[in-house]
Amino acid sequence: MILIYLGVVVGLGLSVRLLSLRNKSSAEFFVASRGMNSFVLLMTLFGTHMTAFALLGSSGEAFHEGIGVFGLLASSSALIVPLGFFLIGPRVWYFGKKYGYVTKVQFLRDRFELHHSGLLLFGLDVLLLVPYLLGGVLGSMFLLKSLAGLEFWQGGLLVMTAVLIYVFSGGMRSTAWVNTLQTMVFMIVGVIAFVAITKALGGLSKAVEDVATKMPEKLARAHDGKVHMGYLYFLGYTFIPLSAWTFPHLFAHMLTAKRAANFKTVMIFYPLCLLIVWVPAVLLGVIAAVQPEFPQSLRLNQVLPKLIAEYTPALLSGLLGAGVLAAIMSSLDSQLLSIGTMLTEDVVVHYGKRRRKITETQQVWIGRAFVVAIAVAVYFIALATPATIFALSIWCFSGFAAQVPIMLAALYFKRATRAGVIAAMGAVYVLLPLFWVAARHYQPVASNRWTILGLIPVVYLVLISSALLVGVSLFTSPPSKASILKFFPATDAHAVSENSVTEAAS
Amino acid sequence: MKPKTTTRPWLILLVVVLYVLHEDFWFWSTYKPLVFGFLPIGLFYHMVYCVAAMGLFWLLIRKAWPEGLDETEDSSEQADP
Repeated sequence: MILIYLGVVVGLGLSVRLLSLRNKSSAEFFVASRGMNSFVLLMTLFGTHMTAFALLGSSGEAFHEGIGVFGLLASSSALIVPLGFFLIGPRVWYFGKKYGYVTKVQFLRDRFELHHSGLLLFGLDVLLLVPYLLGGVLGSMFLLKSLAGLEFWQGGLLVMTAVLIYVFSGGMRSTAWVNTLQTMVFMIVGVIAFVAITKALGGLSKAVEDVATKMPEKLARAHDGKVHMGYLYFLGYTFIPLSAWTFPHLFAHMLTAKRAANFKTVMIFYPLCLLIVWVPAVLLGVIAAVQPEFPQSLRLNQVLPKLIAEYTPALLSGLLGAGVLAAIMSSLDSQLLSIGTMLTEDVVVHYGKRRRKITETQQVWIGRAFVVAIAVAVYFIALATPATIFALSIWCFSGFAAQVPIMLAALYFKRATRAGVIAAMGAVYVLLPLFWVAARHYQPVASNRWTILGLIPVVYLVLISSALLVGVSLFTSPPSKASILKFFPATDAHAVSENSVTEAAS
Repeated sequence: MKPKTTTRPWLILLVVVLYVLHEDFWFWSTYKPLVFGFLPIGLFYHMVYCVAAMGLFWLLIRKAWPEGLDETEDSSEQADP
């Protein structure tokens, strides 16, 4: 079943490539010629954002923590993520189309007149994306070992080869269409698994009533005077979905829209997609908690596969495998392409174009070379990476969330300066590792749940980077009139004419 | 045409209100009733919250969508099939 699924995915990726064979431009490879329709944009953004956690992790977390996980991770995302698409999506798409940007660093470099200091942003994004990428590769290795008995090196090779084929050949267009398929697969598989398992347990009502009788604490966030999910912890977690506003791979997908209006569909239906994926997964997790074969010591990623194995026919195991693989690969391909694009455009082209002209075809082949190099490097590094890499994901999200003030300033805060942005980035470079070290020191077990005065570190990172960006900006030289004109055309025309009158009078 | 946005304070307030409503302390330790016989009230509330978010975004689109973004020069880029 998994081999069939991988074959379908590769076939789709190659077929899509055939449809755009004549277009060899870098815009085609890196941002699919900015031609994606609303449905593909929704599916690819949602699929890229959701990882295996959406199926495996959510049910596993609910198994241990109860239904509070839905509010903690899903409903907060239902508000925060589409809000980001509203505030950021159409505008970055507009500037991307107007000025030819294909990466987040290109846009921010231009907006804030960064040159070498743009490497700070590039470096931060790569440092934060790599653990995320490694986690995906390792996740696929674990999955194929448990479902198909493949050794880590075999499972990883299979998945990376499949991803590499369609990303290398079709770039963003193949990635977007394959993501669309993969998103539909993992959404459908999740629902099928839910229906089959609850039916086998005698119906949903009976299953949940069992939980209410035997472990009612799983159906709330506090029970009998014991709080297992604190108010401040819950509040602080609403900052985590902010990371989606600055993920470089989501940013790249935002640039692929055919029209700004395509974001309207994404905004409206994103919460619905979250409901379809998360509600069944969370309910399955809490239902599993009262089943006799499921001890509380069960690992996070084992809950859903064990439910499938215990209560459904063997065919569904294969389907689940395909569904989880779909969730993993839909993020993996975009992250791989994103890093390849960043290395090509933000380093090679940015510095290389000063010495010689780099043609569109050359840019595409450089991008392809980087994609291959990164895929090979990540594969071998993943083989040597411990499973504790998964615990890094919350820190990666925190680092991306802390860049939100920079992104908002780029679009809405004319007075933001290069120095302010560098100060904000500096805060992330310094504070993120500091918090990580402190968490491992003060809470070595479950360090990713460490809090400061009840709030998770991301809250402080966002507030401090915001304060530094605004504070330093107000005390440093404003950006050039040319920059303001370029990015705030509606208001700066008025400002420029005022300045002209002042200069004429003096 | 240059992009233009109409800022409506009441919409910003709605966003803030919905954000605040996420912290549903009134259902924190409540595990019953089971809505429709199987949805714990705390989970049901957050499902309705997601639907409310959809409604909010519909409003944002109707009342505060930035104008002029699609009126850029035509490019020679290939549209999606």
